[in-house]
Amino acid sequence: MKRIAFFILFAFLFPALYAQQTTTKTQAAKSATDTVKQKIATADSTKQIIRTAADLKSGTSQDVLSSFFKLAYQNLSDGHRFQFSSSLFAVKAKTDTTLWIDTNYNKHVFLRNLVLGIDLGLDSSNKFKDASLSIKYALVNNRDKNIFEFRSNGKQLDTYLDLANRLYAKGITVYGASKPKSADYTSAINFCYPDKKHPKTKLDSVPKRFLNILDSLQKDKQFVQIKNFNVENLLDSLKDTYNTISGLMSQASLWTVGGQITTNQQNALSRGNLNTEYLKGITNNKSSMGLELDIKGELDIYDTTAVSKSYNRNVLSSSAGINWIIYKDKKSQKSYVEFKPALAYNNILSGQIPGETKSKFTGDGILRFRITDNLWLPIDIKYDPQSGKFFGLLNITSNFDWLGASKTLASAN
Amino acid sequence: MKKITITVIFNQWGHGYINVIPSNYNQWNPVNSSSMDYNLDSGDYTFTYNTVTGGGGSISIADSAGNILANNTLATGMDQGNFRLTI
Repeated sequence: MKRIAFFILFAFLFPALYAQQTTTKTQAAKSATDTVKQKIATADSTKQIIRTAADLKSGTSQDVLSSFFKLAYQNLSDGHRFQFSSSLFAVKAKTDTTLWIDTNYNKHVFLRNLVLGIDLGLDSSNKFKDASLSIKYALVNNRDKNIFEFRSNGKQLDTYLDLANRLYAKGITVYGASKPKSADYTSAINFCYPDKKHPKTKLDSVPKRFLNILDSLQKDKQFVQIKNFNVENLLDSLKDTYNTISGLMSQASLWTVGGQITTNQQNALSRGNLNTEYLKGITNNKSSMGLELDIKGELDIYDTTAVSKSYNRNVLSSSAGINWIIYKDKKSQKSYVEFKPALAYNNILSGQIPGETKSKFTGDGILRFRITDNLWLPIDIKYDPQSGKFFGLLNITSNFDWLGASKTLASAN
Repeated sequence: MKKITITVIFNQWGHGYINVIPSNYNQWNPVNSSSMDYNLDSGDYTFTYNTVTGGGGSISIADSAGNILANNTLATGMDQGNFRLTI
């Protein structure tokens, strides 16, 4: 029980102690100048971009490295497991909101890439079985880095969009001033700004005079940055560019190394684990599905007791799988259904228990359903080669930032 | 002159390019959920919008009494559309 108390204490005290350390800085910021207030306002807007980038990550990616906080429950065949993990960034950002400012976010690579976790295992009678502490660091985290590549590309895209809209608005105004027929005027507007109620006018139905006006305006020096764009599908081209950039974020590589120590009722240190994992998107990001390569390697060092005998046991395991993003929203690029089949290989380097197979290949898979932006239902599907049977275990995983999405309505008058 | 108010709401984040035609090309670029008042002479107007959002949103036009004259939902990513109203 003392051990349980220690782990629970760690889980709740660690964020609190860390937060306490940063509270002093926050209080100083409050009493400082308006510049700080301005920074916080900026942080508010960039925070949404960071959140959206996290939403675009696959469920597997969030399992490899949590962006903020993660709470998970696993229903195992021999009991239950509760997991909580948090990036150091998420803890610190709870009290220092200026961390959300893009320049600050960029600086704190260590905070973003380091994730700490705690697990608590219960047996089938809901009694303490084991508990673990884990640490993970991303040596390569191009998924987060790309948030700001997206932003800088996004800024260029914003410039193009601004000019495209000014060009169209000016074109419609000039064309409207020449008193065209109402149907022609409608054709021109619906060509530039189609929506559900107003289908896009086909090019051969657009009044030639309107196209000539657009061509002529495009040569003006104020539109020099978009002079090479095809005026006939200006917004469509920019929309494709936007989708490509946002899709790129979910394709980038992620490589982590980590360790975990476990205690149980028999041993203060019953298991040590070293692990590494590599994840990389390998498909065209514009499609409504996707594939991610996921390679894992682990070394488990056990101090275990079986039939009254202690074994110092080392097990090397590795797995390679493909995470198949079965369905993702083509517009938002968010993943909703994923399946990751994997081939795993286990080799007992030392401490083989009598009757146990030294090395074996197994197959397993995880089927994931996204219920909300923050909630995933992963189902572990395992294949037992000895019995030749498949069985599934239902889990619940929530990735969240404890801040909630803001829907502010500010006056721009 | 009649006062109308255009309001855009972004569910997560977003920005937009709103034009009132005919006008003096004063494009409104909302960066967060916000509203803008226009004082317009009576006549026919075209309102165009182009938005980039995370999580979608909505756009609406209301008169000075708060009556909604037109509205539309905004799709996630890039979206555009138009309203034509007689003020």
